[in-house]
Amino acid sequence: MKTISLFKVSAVCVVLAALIVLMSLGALTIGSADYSLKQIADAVIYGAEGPVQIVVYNLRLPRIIMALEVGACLAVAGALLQSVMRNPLADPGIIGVSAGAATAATTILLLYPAMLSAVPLFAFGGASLACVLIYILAWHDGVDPVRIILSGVAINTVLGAYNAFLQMLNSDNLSNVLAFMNGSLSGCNWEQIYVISAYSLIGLICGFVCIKSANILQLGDEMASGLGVNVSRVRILLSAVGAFLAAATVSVAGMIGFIGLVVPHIARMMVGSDYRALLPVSTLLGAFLLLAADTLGRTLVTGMEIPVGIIMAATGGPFFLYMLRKKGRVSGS
Amino acid sequence: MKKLLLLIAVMLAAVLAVGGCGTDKAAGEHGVGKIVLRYPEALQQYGFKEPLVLDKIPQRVVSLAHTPVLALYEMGVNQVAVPQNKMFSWPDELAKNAQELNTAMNDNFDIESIVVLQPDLVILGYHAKDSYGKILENEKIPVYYVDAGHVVTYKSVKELTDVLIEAFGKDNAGADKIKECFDNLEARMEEMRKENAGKKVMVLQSAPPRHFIQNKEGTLGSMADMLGYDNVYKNTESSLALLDREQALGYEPDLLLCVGGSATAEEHQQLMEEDFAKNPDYWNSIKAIREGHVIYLPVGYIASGGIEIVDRINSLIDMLETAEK
Repeated sequence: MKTISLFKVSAVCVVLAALIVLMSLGALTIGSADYSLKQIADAVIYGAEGPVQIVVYNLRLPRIIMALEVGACLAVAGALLQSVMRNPLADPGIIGVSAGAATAATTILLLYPAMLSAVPLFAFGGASLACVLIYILAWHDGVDPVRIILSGVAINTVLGAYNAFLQMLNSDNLSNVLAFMNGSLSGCNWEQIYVISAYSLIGLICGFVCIKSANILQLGDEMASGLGVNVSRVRILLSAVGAFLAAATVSVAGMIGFIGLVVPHIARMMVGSDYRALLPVSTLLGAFLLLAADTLGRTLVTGMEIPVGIIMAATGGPFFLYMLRKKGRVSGS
Repeated sequence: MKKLLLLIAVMLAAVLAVGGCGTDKAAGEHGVGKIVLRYPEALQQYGFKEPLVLDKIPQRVVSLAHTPVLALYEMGVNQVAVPQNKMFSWPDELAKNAQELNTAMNDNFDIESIVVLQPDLVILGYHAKDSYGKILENEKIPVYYVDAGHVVTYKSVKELTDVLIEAFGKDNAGADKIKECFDNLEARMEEMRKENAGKKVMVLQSAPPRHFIQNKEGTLGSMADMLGYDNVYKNTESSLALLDREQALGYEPDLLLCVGGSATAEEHQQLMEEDFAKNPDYWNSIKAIREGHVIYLPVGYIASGGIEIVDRINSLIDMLETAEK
């Protein structure tokens, strides 16, 4: 592992933080109506009543905070899971989080519409259960990354089939399911912010506590065992933190892909693979990218919002290909 | 003189023959006793120009779209299979005699189960012409294509019903009843159009916290349009789009129609009001909500089931009249 340059990492973090601030200010000012910073300050800080306050305080500000938190959580989850799997293609979807959440949400949305308000709770539960199931299936005298991936593929496929079947039977009323599947920050309110903030705080703190373990896993199983680390236990711990972070985001924002996959790679290109640098940079970068994508999605077409999941898929895929071509080989550790 | 009189007589006979055939032009063109199912204008733009001509009234109709089912039932046309309906229940007699097929809006179904029913007419959504339609036609089963899918407007239902009445409704009490229902509804709608001229409506299809806005091409949107409301959402790209909340602040609707997946209006009202309560400053900025002009509707207003749209619109008019009082 390269020795990280504290100065370089700090510089990158400062630049990313500055970009986040600028992007946030930009997202506050632009939308269906553009407001000046003075108008925004009057509305948010001085509580001046009027349409500006309603738009900025009730719509844009919670949405910006949500985008930052969801982006940060997904990026950290992706980074941790890439360490667990020692696979550069690992992301929260591989451990069944997305499929489990989608299954639970689809079931409620289509079969029990009276319980709509409980969708986030069920989505979280579904995500967690799917993840637990995958690890149980993958267990064989310990947890092996390949077994996790294979179990993940199997469970994702089965759950995907169930979701598709359910949608086929209830094709009259799919718009809400599609909104969940595409991932969207639309309609975000302060109540959701309080919930996601609590989850994010717990999850991110746990993630940062796991930095040392993530670095040790990168040395390989034999080396890690030689250092006295229980590799299976560490894998499960890191996976649990990753799953918790991902499940929390899916429950409030639906399925948003590519953040967990692409952001850690970009962060590696900037600061290397040491998780002491990688995780903070991934956190900030994930927050910035999701905010940028959401802002683009809500301003690109007048009168229409493009869900952030679609924006991320449209831009993340080609960017990932670009990174592959540029690097020559994919860095997974 | 004799020749002149003979010429006049021949000419008169020719004129009478042509005039007499005028009212039976269709039958004459296709043959007496034939059943002619022409295509409404909406379907003609998709290339359905030539009418479907049947030698006699079909005895084993398989309907794979919701739109024609009730009209055929009312006119006594025998249907051996109908699509499964999640929005409301088919009449008991129909449900008893006809098999319910899970055709999932013509996207995926077992074509064999249709063929074994030995239908002499299959009614299918036009989207499936090149897939299932082709298979059935190859089996020499007559297929009539209709507007089907999640959004079938009142206009589309009316046009199809007119076609079915033309084909099957001669001396038919059921057809007369349908025509009367539509006439009564048209009269009510005309009254409403005068009353609602200049009023704006916002149509939301929601599963809180996600809200979609419908334009006048959506099922409920088209109903509101028929009642004279001006839909605030003018985008014609799609009949349904994720609500842009910032844009919605500028709409100032006089009326908000809210529909969702709930079985009853009360259930949907509860869900919506819980969601409104999470962001009251925002939602109270919308004129219709602020002034309490909101009507909540159950899942049956999301997709159309054919002529039951008459009952739906009548109920909606009743609700609007009650709300006005």
